[in-house]
Amino acid sequence: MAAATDDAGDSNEMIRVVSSDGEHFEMPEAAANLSLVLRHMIEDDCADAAGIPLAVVAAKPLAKIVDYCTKHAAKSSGLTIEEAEELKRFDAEFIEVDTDMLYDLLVAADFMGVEGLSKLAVQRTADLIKGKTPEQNRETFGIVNDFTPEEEEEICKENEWAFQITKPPSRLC
Amino acid sequence: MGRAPRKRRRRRRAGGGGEGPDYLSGLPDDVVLAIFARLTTRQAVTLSALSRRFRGLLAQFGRVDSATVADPALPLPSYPARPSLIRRLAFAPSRGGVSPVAFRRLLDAAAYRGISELAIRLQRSGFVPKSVLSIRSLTVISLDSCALPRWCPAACPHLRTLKLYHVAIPQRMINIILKAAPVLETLEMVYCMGFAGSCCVESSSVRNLLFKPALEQRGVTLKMAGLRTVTLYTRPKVQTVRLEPAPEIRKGYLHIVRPRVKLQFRIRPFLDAGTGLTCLTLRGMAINL
Repeated sequence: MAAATDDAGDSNEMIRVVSSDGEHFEMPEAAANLSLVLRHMIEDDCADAAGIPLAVVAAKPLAKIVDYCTKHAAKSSGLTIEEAEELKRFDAEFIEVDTDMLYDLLVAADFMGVEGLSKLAVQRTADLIKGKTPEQNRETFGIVNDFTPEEEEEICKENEWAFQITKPPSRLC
Repeated sequence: MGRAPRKRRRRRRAGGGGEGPDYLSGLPDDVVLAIFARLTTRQAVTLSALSRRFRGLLAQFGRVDSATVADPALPLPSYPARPSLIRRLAFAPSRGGVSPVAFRRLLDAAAYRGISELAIRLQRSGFVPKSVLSIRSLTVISLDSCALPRWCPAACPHLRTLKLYHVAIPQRMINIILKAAPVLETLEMVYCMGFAGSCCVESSSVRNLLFKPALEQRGVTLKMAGLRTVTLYTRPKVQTVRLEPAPEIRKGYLHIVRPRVKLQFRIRPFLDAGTGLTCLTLRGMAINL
């Protein structure tokens, strides 16, 4: 991430981006450089006064992403331990969102190529899934079970080892 | 935000009849795999039961065909950014002592990756962890120069091949394993010890048997009604051999060594029952029929 910030002479220039629902946002060029897509656009001189249109990203997640990039770009070079700690805290707080927003962030971060945010959101989603049964996960993420009962049985049979956990009695461990 | 409802509708899976939006199915495969990679592979596999979309992803999991591990502390090989299954794990430590904790962790890790073949070769007959026989996904186990615990739980519903070479295995463990492996087909016991002088191997599913007794063994009893092929060796100290009749036997190789003292071995019932015997080799001392 450090490499993204120090290649431009005019790094305090503001980059304008437009969300899918037409809202405008501004962020420093260093922050925009964290996104692979935006960086390529800037390098190709596509960043003009009208702003870069992001057809997939709505205003709400984009606001979050701009927030994330700005914070990380400002703190990315020469971190002290306290600053790294603070950034970690910021990340932890930042990703405390509901599944709706998490989904939007996952899609947007993947589309815009913001690696750090992608990782953060992926980890958060994995944490939500962890240790739950498929049924509970269906509930959390609103997934519709489109199997017939026979198919479901077949899947359980195929991967019997994964569904059946045989733990040796604790006294043996 | 007047447009939010439309977006939600679009996000819902086509054909799904559920309420509300779906927050996972619409993600690109790469992202879902990256999420799954942060879970245990076992849980990632269970997620294939969520819906058809996720069942299809199972084909994109990484598959490590074979991993050879010398140091149990090192992580198992895996693919980046996707859950990885492992087919075969060979564990052969280069130095003598293996930390039991690290060994157990290694087996647990392998169990969580859906391992189906396990080969362990220790030096100087070290003990294997108790969990070794309760990895449900195993189809092949081969142990070399190991010692099995005096008792451990066993659950190997898919085990087809069991090879025990120079393994110290108590008689009770033989019974436990054979009971816990209902589809075991091939059994090889070569130079095994740990039972006091004589052992009894009883299983109705085993079809192919290779048995070579250790030097000190006195007696062998083989009760396997489903045998197709048998290869049996004895050594001079073996005094009693009992080979129960196996009606479906096709091929037999019996190498009966001249014993130091009188040998009790009646081969006649076995031969009489084997009406489909196509190939029989008798070696060693002459056997009175």
